[in-house]
Amino acid sequence: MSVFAYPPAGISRRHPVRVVFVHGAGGDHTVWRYQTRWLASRGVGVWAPDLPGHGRSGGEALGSVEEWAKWLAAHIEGLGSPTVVGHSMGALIALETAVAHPEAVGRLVLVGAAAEMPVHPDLLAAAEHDLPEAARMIAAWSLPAGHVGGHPEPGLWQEGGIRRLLQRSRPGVLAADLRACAAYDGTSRAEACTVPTTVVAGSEDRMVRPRSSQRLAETIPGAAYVEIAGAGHEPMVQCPQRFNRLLWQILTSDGKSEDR
Amino acid sequence: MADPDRFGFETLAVHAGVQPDPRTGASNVPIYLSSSFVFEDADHAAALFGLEIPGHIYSRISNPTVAAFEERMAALEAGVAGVATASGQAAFAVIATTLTESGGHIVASSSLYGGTHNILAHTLPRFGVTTTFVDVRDHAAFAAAIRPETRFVLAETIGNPALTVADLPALADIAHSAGVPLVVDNTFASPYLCRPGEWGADIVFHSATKYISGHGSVIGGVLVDVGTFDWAASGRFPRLTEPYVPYGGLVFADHYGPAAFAALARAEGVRDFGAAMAAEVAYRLLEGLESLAVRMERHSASARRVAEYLQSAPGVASVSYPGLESHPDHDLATKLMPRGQGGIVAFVLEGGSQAGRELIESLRVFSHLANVGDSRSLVIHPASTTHAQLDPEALHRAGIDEGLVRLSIGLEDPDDLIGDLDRALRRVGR
Repeated sequence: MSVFAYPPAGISRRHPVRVVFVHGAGGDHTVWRYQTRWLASRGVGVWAPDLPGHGRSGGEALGSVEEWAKWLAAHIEGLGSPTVVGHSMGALIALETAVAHPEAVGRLVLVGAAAEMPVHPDLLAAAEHDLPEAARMIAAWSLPAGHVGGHPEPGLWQEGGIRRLLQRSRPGVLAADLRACAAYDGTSRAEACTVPTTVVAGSEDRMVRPRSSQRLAETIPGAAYVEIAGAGHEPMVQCPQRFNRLLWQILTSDGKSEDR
Repeated sequence: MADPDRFGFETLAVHAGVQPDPRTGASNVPIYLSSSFVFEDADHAAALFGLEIPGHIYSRISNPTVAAFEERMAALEAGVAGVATASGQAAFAVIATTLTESGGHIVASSSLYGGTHNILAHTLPRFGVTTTFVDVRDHAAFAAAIRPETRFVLAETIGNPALTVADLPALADIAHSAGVPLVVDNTFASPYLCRPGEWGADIVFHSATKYISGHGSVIGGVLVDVGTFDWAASGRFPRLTEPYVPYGGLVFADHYGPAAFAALARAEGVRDFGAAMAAEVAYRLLEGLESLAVRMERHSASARRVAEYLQSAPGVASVSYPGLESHPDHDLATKLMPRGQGGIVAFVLEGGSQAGRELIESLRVFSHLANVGDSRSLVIHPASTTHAQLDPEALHRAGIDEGLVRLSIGLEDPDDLIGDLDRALRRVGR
């Protein structure tokens, strides 16, 4: 099965991978566009794959967070315990990878995530039968209430960007991803996590409420919690400069939790 | 009841793209009269130049006031990103040069604005890009004209000036089956009446000078990337899908995902050709958009009344208005544009070209000038002005009779417009 990832030329031995990015349900690596090239230009080796069945990778979407974690662990084994940054479903995959394979993960950054991520039945039904409607729902809930834009990328209408990306997902993939999120028992896994962790939430996230993200941070032993004011479910896209400053701070710290 | 999670068109037209200024509290976007923008440090500058992070460098490439307009247009056209240009003509030039290279080919409707016809028929061929023009209603001809080197299919939602209506879903199917995007000039409809992206178009552009400005005060253009076209699957667009050397091997389609075309159009097209929109113009266009919905309803309602009058007016051989049941595309027009069929009316005088000239000179309320979409009503004789560079055969293909007169119905009292036309038509008939 082919795996498409940034960097397209593959991983270079000269720049060992220090950061792995894992996208969320129905998405692909482009949600990390403001981090991948920025870090790579600063000499930080990165790897941001399209998960199987997603984006330009081949294969089928896997059915559970545990299976995704096995897949991820197999791919990052031997990379020297990189920091794994996961978004939403990708954060659950990162958490599960860190718990099941603690030697494979040096540090966790969990973005827009909670230990338990139930999926609204209307959203699940739309994902199964009406992908454009599901994409519209996720786009609306991913952005702050009353969002009217003002993105730092000149001319970018983020609501449209989220919608069109999800609409590109292959039939059934978004629904399978959402079911995998809903089925995952994250609380017991979070309690068992021994990897240094930072949980990042957007203060205006309506897909995963910041209160739930904070509880996740409280459940993971020693984890730090950082809230990005004004951001929704995708702070790395909506507020790239603030997100990147935070990520840089995490990457250059000693890995222990601290008051940020 | 409205869905509280989603704003409707009129709300986006007033608010999208603009946040209150955090420093001053200004509710309107400021006019950022600044050619350049200060970098935080050397690292920030390098990251901006490398397209690693978003932000403004130089107003030829982007400007905060212009960006607010671009974002609002993307929202209104159901797209992912907008790129503003100095004119509508520049918007099309950027689209054409971003999607083609020497040897490239375009399939275009023959019912096009004269300026678009000129660049396709006369200017682009000098750079090795050729166009096959086909009747917009002949879908088989569109399909037959697409070749391996074709890069896009082009049509106008409402063709200028013959007012043919493009069957956007059918043209989108034809283009997509061949692996090329559908590009649509939506100037005459405006996003209030029709959103081509919802009918299959992949790139939409406007002369914003027209209905978006609405007051005949500024020149501007904008393109919107709808974010639907799969550049990688097509295989015809290596500059989007292969490493782009000037930006360190960046692959636009992989990096920007659904907004890849808009990103390349800005980073290459607007950067290299320099047809940037000025901040003052963007401000005027943002103001124009705020009243677009109410204006388009009035333009459409008044145009319909004028068209109905012309159907039985003295000396008028035929009337073309997509809102009339007699229009050959009426059903399609009401499907694509259920809220109104626009403010442009065309008609042919029995007295031909000479009668057309006499009529135009007899009108008092209508202004004789080369524009549409103004609050003032406008009149022009396309065969001798906007489409004068078309030869007789091309005029015929574009549906332009020598006696064709084009009206752009403004926001005046429609009774005054009908009275003006009636008086002038009776004078011509004497």
